[in-house]
Amino acid sequence: MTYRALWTEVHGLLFGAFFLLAVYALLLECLRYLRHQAMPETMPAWERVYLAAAAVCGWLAVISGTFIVYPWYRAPLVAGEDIRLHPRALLLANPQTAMLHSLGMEWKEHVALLAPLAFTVAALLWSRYREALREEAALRRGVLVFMAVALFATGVAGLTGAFLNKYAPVESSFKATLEQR
Amino acid sequence: MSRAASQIAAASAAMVAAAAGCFTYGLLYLLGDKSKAINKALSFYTPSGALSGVFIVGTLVALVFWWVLAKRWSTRPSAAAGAVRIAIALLLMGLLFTFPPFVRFI
Repeated sequence: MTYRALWTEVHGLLFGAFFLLAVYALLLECLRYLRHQAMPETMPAWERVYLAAAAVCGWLAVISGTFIVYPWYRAPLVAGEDIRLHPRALLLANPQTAMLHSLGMEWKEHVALLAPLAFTVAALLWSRYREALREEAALRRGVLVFMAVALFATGVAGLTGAFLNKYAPVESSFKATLEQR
Repeated sequence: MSRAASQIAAASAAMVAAAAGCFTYGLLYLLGDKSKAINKALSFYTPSGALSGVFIVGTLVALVFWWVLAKRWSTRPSAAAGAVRIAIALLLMGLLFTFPPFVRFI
């Protein structure tokens, strides 16, 4: 596995996938306590740790995506270079895959930013302001909407990332270099 | 202020602040798409382009809003239902502004 492929996996499969699972779990918890059940006054310490770790993973997914993986993806194509080293140029060169960049990647890179922020505030309210959530139904509904948006944003980013990695993986640089030699 | 009331004020402040940050992400993407000057100004880290500025500014907006609202609402709390409505509106607008076909349409 190349260095770039490793970072792509860490970004998507370690940080991103763990975050996605946690977002889904918290959304279910929000639904459970929206109407059907009274919310307990306290929550176990391990659940607080889990929520905090998930929020950290969400932020790490966005930071590693924005500052490490994305620059490899968008590196400009210089004349004479192998196009396979430049995933964005590779996608745009073919009309059948151009939409993966113009719709997929452009949406992914921006919608993904919403997810950790929405999740972090929901997790904060869930673990630190439980009394407020128990008292105010409006806040419970608000947290539910935040979690639904976080799940949608993470889902779009994850699905698009999987397609992009299939058609124009950033790891292609190493293979292309080997083939050139 | 009772403990519950102060928690409600703090929770409302955090929610509105996060929604303002999400709205800023979307708005900056839209503005960067429409103006080359704004796009260039948002390129804090050249290899990532404007995305770096969108992320940094949006996150800072959320943190500043959180600090200001938490301070303000600790003495003069707003109604939680109204704060949540504003937060949801900002959040959904932020989500819409990140959708490329919508950005290109307006």
